[in-house]
Amino acid sequence: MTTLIAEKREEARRLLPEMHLPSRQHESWRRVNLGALDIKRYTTTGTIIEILEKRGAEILEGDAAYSQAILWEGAPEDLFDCANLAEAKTILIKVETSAHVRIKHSMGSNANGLHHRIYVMVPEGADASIIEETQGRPGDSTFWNLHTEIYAGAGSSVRHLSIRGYEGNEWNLHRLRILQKRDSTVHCSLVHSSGQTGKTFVTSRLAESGSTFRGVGMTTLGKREFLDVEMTAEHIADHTSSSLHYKTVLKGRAHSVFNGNLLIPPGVRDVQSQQINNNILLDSQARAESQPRLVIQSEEVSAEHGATVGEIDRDALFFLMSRGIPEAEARQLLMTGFLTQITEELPLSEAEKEKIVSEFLKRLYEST
Amino acid sequence: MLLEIKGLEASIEGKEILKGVNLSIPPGEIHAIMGPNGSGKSTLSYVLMGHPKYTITGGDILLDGKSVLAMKPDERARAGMFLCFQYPTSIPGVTMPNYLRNVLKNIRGADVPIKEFRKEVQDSMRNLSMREDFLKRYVNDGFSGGEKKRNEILQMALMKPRVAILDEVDSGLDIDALRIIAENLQAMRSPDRSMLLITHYQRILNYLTLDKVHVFAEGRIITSGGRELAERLEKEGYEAVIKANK
Repeated sequence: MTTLIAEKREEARRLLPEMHLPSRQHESWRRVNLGALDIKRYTTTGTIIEILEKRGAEILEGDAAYSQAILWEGAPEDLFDCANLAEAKTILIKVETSAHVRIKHSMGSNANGLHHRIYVMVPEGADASIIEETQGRPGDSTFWNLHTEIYAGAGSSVRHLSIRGYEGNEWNLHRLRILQKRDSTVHCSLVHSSGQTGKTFVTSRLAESGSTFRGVGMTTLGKREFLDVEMTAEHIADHTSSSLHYKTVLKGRAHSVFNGNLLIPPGVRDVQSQQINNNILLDSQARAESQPRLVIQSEEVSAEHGATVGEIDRDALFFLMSRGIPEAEARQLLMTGFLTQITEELPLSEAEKEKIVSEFLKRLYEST
Repeated sequence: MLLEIKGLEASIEGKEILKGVNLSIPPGEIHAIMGPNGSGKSTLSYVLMGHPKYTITGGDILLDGKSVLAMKPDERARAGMFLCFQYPTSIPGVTMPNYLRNVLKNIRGADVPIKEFRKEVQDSMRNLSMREDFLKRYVNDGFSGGEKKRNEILQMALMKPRVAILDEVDSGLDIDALRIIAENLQAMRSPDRSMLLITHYQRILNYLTLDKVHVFAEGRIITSGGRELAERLEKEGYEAVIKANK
C-alpha cells in the first residue's frame, strides 16, 4: 500500500545522497561543531526499540505504522532529519483513551549508530504518558539520531519524557515535534546527562486555540562535553500559552547552549509565553549560553524571558554551612535542590526522581 | 566565659567595618546589642559565624576559651554556635524535612531515627504555632518574613546550640509572632546556653530576662549596662547616647 509516509520516506532516500552536514552559518547549528562527524562510518542495523511498559496503547511497526501516522508537514529540515526519515526503525504508539508507554532505545551488539523514529498519536480527549530512555554505551564513538513526533488531538493531555544517560563518546541528535490541536495540553521534559556533542530540537506547534505547552529540561555536562538545546513554541492560534524552563549544571570545560524560540505570527491574539534558563557553572572554564529568540509579530501577547548564569550562590552555601553542613555536602544539597525544581515535574515516582538527580550528580562529580 | 570577643577587627573589600569589638558572655546569660542602622551589627554576626566574605584583620573570637577563627562555618556550628539570620536564604528544591534531617545528622553526628525526628520537629513546631503543611514546603521558599523567623527559631530549638547569635530576630514580625518567638527564646534559656540578641528595638527585650545591654556604634561597643540602658535608648534615641559616650 502506498502511503503518505512511504512517499516521504522515498523522497528522503532520494534526497539523502545530495545532503551535507548542516552548516554553521545556519543559526540553529552555529555553535555545534560537527567537523569530525562522518555519519557513513556508523552501522545502524540491528538497533533495538524495547517496550518496557505498555498500557492503553497499541504499538505498530513498519508499514502499519507508516499508514496511520499524521505527519509533520514540510521537507526534511537537515541531513539528520532526512537520514532518519529515510532509514529509521519506526514505531507508532497509538493511544486508546488513557495510555502509559515506556520504551528504551539501544544499539544492540552490532550497531554503533542508530536512527529511530517514534510516532505518538493521541486522539481527541485522551491522555498519554510516554517515556523514552536512551542509555549510552561506553567505549568507541557512537551516533544517535532519534526523532519523535506527537499528535495531540483536541482536548488531549500528553506528557512526554526523554531520559538520556550518555557516556561521553556520543554524537547525539534528538528531535521532538508536537502538533497540538484545540484545548490540548502537552508537557514535555528532557533530562540529559553527558554526551560528546549533541543537538536537541523540541518544537511545539500550538495550531489551534486553547492549547498549552510546557517544556522543561535539565542537563549535566562535564569534561569537554557539548549540548545545544533548541526549544520552540510556535503560537499559530489565538488563546494559546507556552512556558519553558531549562536548567544546566556544568563542570570542567563543558559548554551548553539554550535557544528559546518563540514565534507569534501577525494577527494572533491572546498569547502568553514565558521562558527561563538557569545555569550553574562549577568550574571557571565551563560555559553556558542563553539565546532567547522572540519573533513576535502580534501585539496582544505577553512574553517574558529570563536567564541566569553563575556559580553556586555563596550566601546559600554559607547559610547551609552555618547549620553544620560541611561544604561538599552543602554544595550537593544546593545542586539537588536546583535540579529538583525540574524533576518534580517529571511523570515518575518520587524514588525515580531522586535516583535521577543523585545519579546525574554522582556522574558529574566523578567526571574529570 | 562561653563566648569572648577580643579586640575584633574585620573588613570587607578593604573597608574596615568592625573596629575593635570587645564582649564577653558567661554561660546562661542573654546579652543584647543595640545600635543604629549601618553600625556594623549584622557584620558582627556574620563574622562570628565565619562568613568568608569578611577578612579578620585583628583580635579573636573564643568559644570556651578556644579560638574559632580557623574554623569554617560548619565547624563552628558543630562546636555549638548558631546564627539566626536576619534574612534567611531560601533553598528552592530542598524540602524542609530533607534539610532538617541533614542539619541534625551533622550537628548530632548521626542520623536521627525517622520516628524520633518527626516527633521532635512536630513538638517544636507546635511551640512556635507553625502549621503542619510547613514541612511540605521548600526551605524558606515563598515564606513570609514571619514564617522565616519562626523557621529559624525552629532550627535553633532542634540544634540546641550553646551560643545563639540572633540577628534582628524581631524585625518584620507582628505582635503575636514577636511574643511567640520571644517566649520560645526565653524557654530555651538554660545555664549552659548563651544568647546574643542583635536588635534595633526594645520591644522584644520586654519578653526576655536580659543580663546586659550593649550599645554598638561605628564598628564597636561604646557602652554597656543593664535593661535601663535599653530604656534610655528608647527615650533619648541612639544619637544622644552615642554622643554622650564618645
